[in-house]
Amino acid sequence: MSMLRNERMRSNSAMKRREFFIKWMKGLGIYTNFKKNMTILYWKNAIKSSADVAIASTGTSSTNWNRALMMAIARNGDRAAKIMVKIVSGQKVQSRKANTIIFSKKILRKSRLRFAKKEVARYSSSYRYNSVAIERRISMLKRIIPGGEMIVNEVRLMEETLDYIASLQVQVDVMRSFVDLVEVDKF
Amino acid sequence: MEEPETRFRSGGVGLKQGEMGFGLGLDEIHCLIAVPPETGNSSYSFTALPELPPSQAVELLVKEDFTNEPIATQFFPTNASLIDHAAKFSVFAPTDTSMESTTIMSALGSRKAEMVKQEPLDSNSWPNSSSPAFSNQSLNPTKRKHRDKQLKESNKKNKKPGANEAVVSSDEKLPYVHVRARRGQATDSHSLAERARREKINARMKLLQNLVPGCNKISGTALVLDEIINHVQSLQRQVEFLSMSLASVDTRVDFNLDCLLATESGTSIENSNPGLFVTPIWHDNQMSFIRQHQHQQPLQFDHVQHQPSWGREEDAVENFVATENSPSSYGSPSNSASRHLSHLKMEL
Repeated sequence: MSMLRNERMRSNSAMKRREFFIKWMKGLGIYTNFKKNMTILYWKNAIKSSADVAIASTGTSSTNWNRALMMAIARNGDRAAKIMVKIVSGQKVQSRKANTIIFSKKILRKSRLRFAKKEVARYSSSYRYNSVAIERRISMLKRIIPGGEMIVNEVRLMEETLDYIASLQVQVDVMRSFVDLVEVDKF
Repeated sequence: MEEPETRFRSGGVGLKQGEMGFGLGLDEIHCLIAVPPETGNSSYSFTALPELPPSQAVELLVKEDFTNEPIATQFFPTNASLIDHAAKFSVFAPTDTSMESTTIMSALGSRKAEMVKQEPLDSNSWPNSSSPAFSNQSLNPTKRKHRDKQLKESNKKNKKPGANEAVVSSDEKLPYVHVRARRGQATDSHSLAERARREKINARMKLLQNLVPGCNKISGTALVLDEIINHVQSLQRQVEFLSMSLASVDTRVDFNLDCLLATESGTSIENSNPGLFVTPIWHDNQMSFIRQHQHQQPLQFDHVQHQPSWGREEDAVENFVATENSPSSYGSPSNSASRHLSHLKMEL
């Protein structure tokens, strides 16, 4: 029984890796078709954005960080980035909504900071035996995870981090092995 | 404040989704509204919404009436290892005959325990047969909380209207959790909700601890969160670093994806004739795609260095893609590298 599970896990993650790799390469191809001479920094940005969009769109997900990441890339990127996001992820990113979400994030953050002290309710719905330290860490986690600041629910935040860490692991693994494949021998 | 992600469910809206099978004339049966798959939020209602249970639900306590319908994997769709961990963390606590206390089954992705409250009359049977249990209970239609009280408390509080609700909900999907109060703990709705919530959070934390390396030994939420944050940051930095190194290795890469997709079969094709595939277009001669196998054959690489050959690149890529099917073999090929090298030598 556990053997089956292990095999399932392995094939699952292998599929995920393959899917990520293909999407990533597709994104890179879009960039190279778009721009002829790229500086190294631009190319690095292209690689990173392609990888991010690829991992964000890999695997079915109901998590929030996927969409937030893709929207951030489409919003801050240039034309090539927008096209890449649209093609690789297969979803049209609505820039209007992204803008409003970005703006409201800041407003939310400020208002939440202001109201944080006033919320003393013991039986508020997000009550936890939290000390200040834990609150600080949770807010830091929210900042790190894409789209995390919108998440109020702590349980949801935990699930997002779980999924995010797993996907990041896949991304790093595939990228590292690709670098191993493609590196110039320095000797 | 209402966040877009959560919904505060209030009121007595209840859809009768399944029938109870108890047939006791329970008028106000709280049926569960199945959470639509896209939202997947835990709401602010007092019931502890379990997240989506995959089919490997731990269902020790689920009665036969409930159809165990797996909700499509939502949160951790592809990482079955997480589900594995989740299954490990489910806590079973079959009650002893005195029905003193039970622990709440908290497992991510597993259907949480539905412990149907048993009436004092029906003492020692396990929840599965608790059908006559609800004859005396008063059900508050407005509250959707499903709580199972303890034996003693329920005896006392049975008279109070609306105080106890042990509602059995039969449903196709089970977004609600029946939580049994422990002995000696407060049983009002708030604390129960919070306790269920805390249990869920702790379950997630355990999963996170397993995922993040080196977190198992740390106790205490703050330090664990520190480790998690460090791990996420380090992974993000690694992505940056790897993309920078990739960018510095080759300025332009033009892949012909056909050759990549031609290896979908997953077999190692590195021996095959490169002429069979469409040649990729190489932009630079800076790229030398050599599979480095440092321990074994470092010297052979010297004269192979700066001579890009199309076939080599294809082979390398195919090898790479092929080895992706066996994720354990990253970066350390044994046979394939030697064959690869022999192929390289033949070309020169």
